[in-house]
Amino acid sequence: MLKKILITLSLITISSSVLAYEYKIGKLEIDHLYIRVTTGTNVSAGFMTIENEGDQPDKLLSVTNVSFAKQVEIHETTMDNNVMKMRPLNQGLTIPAKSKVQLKPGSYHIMFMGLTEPIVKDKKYKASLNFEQSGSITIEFDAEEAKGYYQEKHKH
Amino acid sequence: MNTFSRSIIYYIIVPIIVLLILFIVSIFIGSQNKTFQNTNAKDIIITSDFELYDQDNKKVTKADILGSPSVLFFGFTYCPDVCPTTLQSLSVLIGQLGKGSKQLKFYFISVDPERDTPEALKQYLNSFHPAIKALTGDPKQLDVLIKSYSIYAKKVPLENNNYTMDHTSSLILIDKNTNLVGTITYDENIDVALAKLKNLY
Ligand SMILES: [Cu+2]
Repeated sequence: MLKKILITLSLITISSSVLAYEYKIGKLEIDHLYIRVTTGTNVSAGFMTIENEGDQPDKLLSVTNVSFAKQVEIHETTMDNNVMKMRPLNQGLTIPAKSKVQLKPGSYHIMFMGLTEPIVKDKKYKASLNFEQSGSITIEFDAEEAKGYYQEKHKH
Repeated sequence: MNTFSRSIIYYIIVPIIVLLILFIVSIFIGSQNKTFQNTNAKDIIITSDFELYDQDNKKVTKADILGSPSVLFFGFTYCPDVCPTTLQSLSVLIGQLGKGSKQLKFYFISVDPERDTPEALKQYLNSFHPAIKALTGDPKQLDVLIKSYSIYAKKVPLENNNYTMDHTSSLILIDKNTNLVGTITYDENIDVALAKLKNLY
């Protein structure tokens, strides 16, 4: 009985996480948005999943209309021989046709610098995402605490 | 073949061969164990004394590191991505070690002392396992640790006078004499990471 309930629950969770998207603009579906809760520093990172269902590539060019940070950039983190490097993507982040790009720790993120207020749990943070083809959309990030690699990997 | 030579084969030669194989295998396993325990260990130790400060502004010197094995992580609080993820991973590992973790010391060592004051570090550490301590202080003093373990740390400018730090992201595992005995990478398998930590004590 318990097993049945668990299976049903997990099926619901799986199907809802597959079917539901939080935002849609043009052929883009934007999902799993969150921003990291700050712990004394005035920087934070925003994460999300962007899926392009169209057969043309698109590009996230910039993130604007951010009231809580003075400077916002699209960043890429790379591991080069176990050395972590974080760099701005000045040309924007390409979302290839018929594919999904995940902004996640150790990969891409929206970098918020010069925060004018701390990022606190349970608050929402607004921003506009500007795409080359699909145009602009206003989204909201949920504030979440940092997850470890192990929790990050098994999340979904 | 007569019975005599046959029994020589069965009772002397075969056992000798079996013993020989066992001997070779045991040497092989032994040497493998040794290399596992001494990964990269060529007397990579903290070369000279240093004077740093923890998150409570208490002085920490080489004498405080000596005596029990430690896990070192070099990073900075303005790192929004890999540092909090790694410290959260380490917090999970410490939790999984349970009581065993008391035999180890855990240090988050700043590669950005300009921004990482003891006060900033204290607030930053609130999000992670309380066993993790922070170290900061004079860049020259931090260099003792950075150079001892060949840590890569470089300031990289961003727009508007901001900057970020490129830095080694692996956890550095050292024994009670500060000898480097291994590393745990950012994406290490959790069971392998746990085994490496348990191997320290
Ligand atoms: Cu960044």
